[in-house]
Amino acid sequence: MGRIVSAAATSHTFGNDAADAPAAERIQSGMAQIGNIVAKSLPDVLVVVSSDHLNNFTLDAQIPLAIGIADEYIPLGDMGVPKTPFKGSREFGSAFAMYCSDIGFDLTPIENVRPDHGVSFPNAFSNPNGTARLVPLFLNTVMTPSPSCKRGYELGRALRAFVETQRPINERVAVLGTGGLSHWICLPDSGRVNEIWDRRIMDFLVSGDGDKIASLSREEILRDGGNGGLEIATWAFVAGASGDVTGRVIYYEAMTSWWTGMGGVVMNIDAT
Amino acid sequence: MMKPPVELHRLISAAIHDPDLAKRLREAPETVYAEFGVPEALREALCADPVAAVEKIGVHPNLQFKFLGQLGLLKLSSLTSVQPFLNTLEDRNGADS
Repeated sequence: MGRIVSAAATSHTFGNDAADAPAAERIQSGMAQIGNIVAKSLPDVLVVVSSDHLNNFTLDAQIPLAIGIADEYIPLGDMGVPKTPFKGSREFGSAFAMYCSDIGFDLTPIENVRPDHGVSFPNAFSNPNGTARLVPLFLNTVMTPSPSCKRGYELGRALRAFVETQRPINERVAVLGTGGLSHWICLPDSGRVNEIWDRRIMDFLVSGDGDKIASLSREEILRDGGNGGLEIATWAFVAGASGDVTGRVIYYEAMTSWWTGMGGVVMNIDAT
Repeated sequence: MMKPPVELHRLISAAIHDPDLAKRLREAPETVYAEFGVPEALREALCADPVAAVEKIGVHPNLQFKFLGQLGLLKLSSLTSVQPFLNTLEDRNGADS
């Protein structure tokens, strides 16, 4: 059986330090720390869970859940992420899709995807040498209906069960959920950050209360966290995948200049 | 239920991956709108005031972001490349990162 050797959740946007250089530096330091923890867990496979931002998927066919099954990914290059090819794992992605289909999840396997910043930026700081095979998993919260936090949580639990029961002995899998926290994209509230809500979400995750994230409704999230806040379905995924262990907050900044509450947590998992 | 601006959505999605199209959108928007079958009433609104129009028309927020970015009208001033940060990882985390 395989193992989940590390799990973390982090915001995936970025910005300059013009408005608040110390806060920007703390975010960078936090992202680097999270990436280092994930890299040092020596994963064979890195599952990065994110919404696409309508760079690969379109509104003509609103695919809510999808998994990359390519053997190689070249980042889209948005936000200046280098277009350095990364190894993928057709075998892992295809096997998980098949497993999911037997337990009530229909993941759309996708070949031709250029992962945007939601996947490629966290991959770049967590897997800089491409040692781990990247498996992008899309919870496309940009779609309507968007995958719920409950769905994300249950899919995370499914990944854990898949790794522990179906994968080769000693296969090491890291999980990185990305997106959030509160942000309003092209809405009158753009630039608003709800720090109280953000810290509540992080507290749920680090307290091992993943079911509390899972219970959040779309309406609550849209009201308190914005349309961008729907991305916390990937944080719910991390809760499920990590078995509801506790964790610790690595960074948080209410970056109104970036239009986003920026946060990151690492789950307490023994990688040895 | 109001029909979303599907033609405009397709145009914006296409322009993401086509720098020439994005350039033509900036330089000759009316022509490009017509090519993609954007209804005339929407074209007039978009040409008059794109920022107000995308909201009124009901363009998907993520596509509004891209469209306004393509036209140079996005108000988010913090956009920057992540490359300089990525270049610091080795120093931050040690040589094995």
